[in-house]
Amino acid sequence: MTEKMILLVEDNPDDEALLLRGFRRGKLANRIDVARDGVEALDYLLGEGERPLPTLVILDLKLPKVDGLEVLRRVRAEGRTRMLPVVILTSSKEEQDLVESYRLGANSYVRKPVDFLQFADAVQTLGLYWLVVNEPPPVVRT
Amino acid sequence: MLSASSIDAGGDAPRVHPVLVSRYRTASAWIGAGVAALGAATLGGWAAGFEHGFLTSGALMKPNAAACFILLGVALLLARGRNRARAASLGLAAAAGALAVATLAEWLSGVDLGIDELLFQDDTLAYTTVPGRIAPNTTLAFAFYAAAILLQQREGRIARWWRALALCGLAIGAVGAAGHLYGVSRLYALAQATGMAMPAAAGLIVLGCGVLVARPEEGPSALLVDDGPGGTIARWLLPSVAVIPLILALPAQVGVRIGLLDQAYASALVTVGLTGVLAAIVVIGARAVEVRDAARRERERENLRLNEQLQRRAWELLVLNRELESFSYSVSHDLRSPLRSIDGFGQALIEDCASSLPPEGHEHVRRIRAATQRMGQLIDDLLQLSRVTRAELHRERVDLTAMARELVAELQRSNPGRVVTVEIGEDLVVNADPRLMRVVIENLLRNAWKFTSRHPSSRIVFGRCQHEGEPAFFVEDDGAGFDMAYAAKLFGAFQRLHGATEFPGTGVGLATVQRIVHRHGGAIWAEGAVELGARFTFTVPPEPEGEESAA
Repeated sequence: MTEKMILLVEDNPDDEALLLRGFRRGKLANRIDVARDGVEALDYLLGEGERPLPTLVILDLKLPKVDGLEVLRRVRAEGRTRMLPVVILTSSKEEQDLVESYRLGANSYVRKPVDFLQFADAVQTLGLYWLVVNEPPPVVRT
Repeated sequence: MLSASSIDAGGDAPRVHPVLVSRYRTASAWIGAGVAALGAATLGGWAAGFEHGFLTSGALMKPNAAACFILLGVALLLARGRNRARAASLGLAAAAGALAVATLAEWLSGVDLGIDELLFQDDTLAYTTVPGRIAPNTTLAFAFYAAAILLQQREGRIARWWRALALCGLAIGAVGAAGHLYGVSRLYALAQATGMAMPAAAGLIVLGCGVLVARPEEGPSALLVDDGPGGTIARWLLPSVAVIPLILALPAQVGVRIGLLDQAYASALVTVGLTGVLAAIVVIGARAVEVRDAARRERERENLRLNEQLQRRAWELLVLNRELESFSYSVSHDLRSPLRSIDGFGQALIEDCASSLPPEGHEHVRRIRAATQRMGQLIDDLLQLSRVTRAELHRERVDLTAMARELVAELQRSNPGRVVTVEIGEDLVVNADPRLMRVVIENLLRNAWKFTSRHPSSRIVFGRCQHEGEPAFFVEDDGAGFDMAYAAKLFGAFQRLHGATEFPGTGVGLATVQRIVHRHGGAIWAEGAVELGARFTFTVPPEPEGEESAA
């Protein structure tokens, strides 16, 4: 088993920095790759070359080019990434976003709090749970 | 809003003209009084001994016929009244009916029951071979009218026959009158030397009209009170057709009698005259209908135009609303991200540069972070306000009692030190959107909880009351209250009557509550006094029928 790493799909560099800071505070030293829009995320996950899949995808909904829900839909449509754990991390608490995310097969939905301490708490819990507590799905060969 | 009546103008339901109805009813009562007076005058004539030589012999009807006119006339007059008047009306009509039936029995059986000369001795033998007995056709007409007046007071299938009965009586009277006018005795006298007197014939016609219009909204007279073109034509043509032939034929007939015209010449004159006058009436009637119809079409066009305008406005509003909602949605979300950065990097500043930051620097950062969090709360509240406007209403039965208990338990858990007596009414149930109602109750209870926090012990009541006969709900507390002078400001977004240091809040909660109540078609208002408490009352009327649940 290779090292557990995370793909963060986030267009806001501040949020990215704060999330990394939160992980550091929680002593989570896993590698985190960042995709800055939907197209980058899809390239990373479904592109040529069959890059090893991350253990967890943290996905924002509001993204340039291709939005988060569309990324999720395409990821779930692909056999290799169908069972990949995807956590939505977004500002929105709108019902339609929640419903759509779960309907498309999101594993979890977390709203970014304004308060940094709460935000840091949330990402630590997230990382801890999905990287340490949770047993990931077996790698699917295509 | 267009008035319902103008929209109904194109419908096919019969439209009754209320003014005409009451006019016809009044006319019916006057007719009753008139024929009763005719009867009374006739009896007066008999008493004065005019039966032999008043005008021409036999110009007076029989005393019993006069009695029938009095009975039926007063019955018609009283038929409009209530209770005792109505009972008296029925009694009088029944008495007239009994008299008529007895007289008919006399005619049919040939037996003299001794009722014919009860009132006056009759030695005139005018129109009858049996002294004092009413002519059989007149008697039959009286029987019909009596039955018609009795049936008019009832409902049901048999009762509807009153119209046919009244029309039969009217026909008998009209035939008798025609006989007198044209000097054809067979038309008014059925048996040999037994006939209807001229005043009786006239009285029967008038009484028949009175009976028919006593209930103008049904039967053959319904057309007369119709508000549509049919009613207009009927009101023009019926009286004309009834009266004009008489007016034309009468002088011609007089001319024949005094030898001025021969019968064929008179008939030709009457025919030509009738044709001309009736054609003129038809033209006038048709024009009246045309004018009314043109006005109606104009109204319809106007309605259509207004409708289109209304629909366009509604559509514009809808589009505008959508744009506004999507604007506030994205603004609210995009506003949060920078706040997160400000708060996060403020915290980072303290953590990473603690040693080089003087104590007042820490204090500044604390204030920055407090402000960002307040702004975050504001945005959340605004989001909820906009969500409340956008969300579709899904009405169902909502148990407000259970909802309030749950919310109060939550408040008590998070503030275990507070001494608050909370009274929640039993069975507070409403048909409303459960999620939106939760926002209402939560806001009102949280407010009550918050504004009583400066009192050592307090009391909060959630219950039901009556407002102008409608059920209403209220949330009452004995907390900080407010000055009634500012009551109007309470429900505006961002309006606060207390400083943030005194009681924290964004001032959006009550605006949200009011919007929810309004979306349910209800109203909300507040009463209060400084340091005595506040009371918020709201109504949630049941859903109006046929209304769409979407906003």
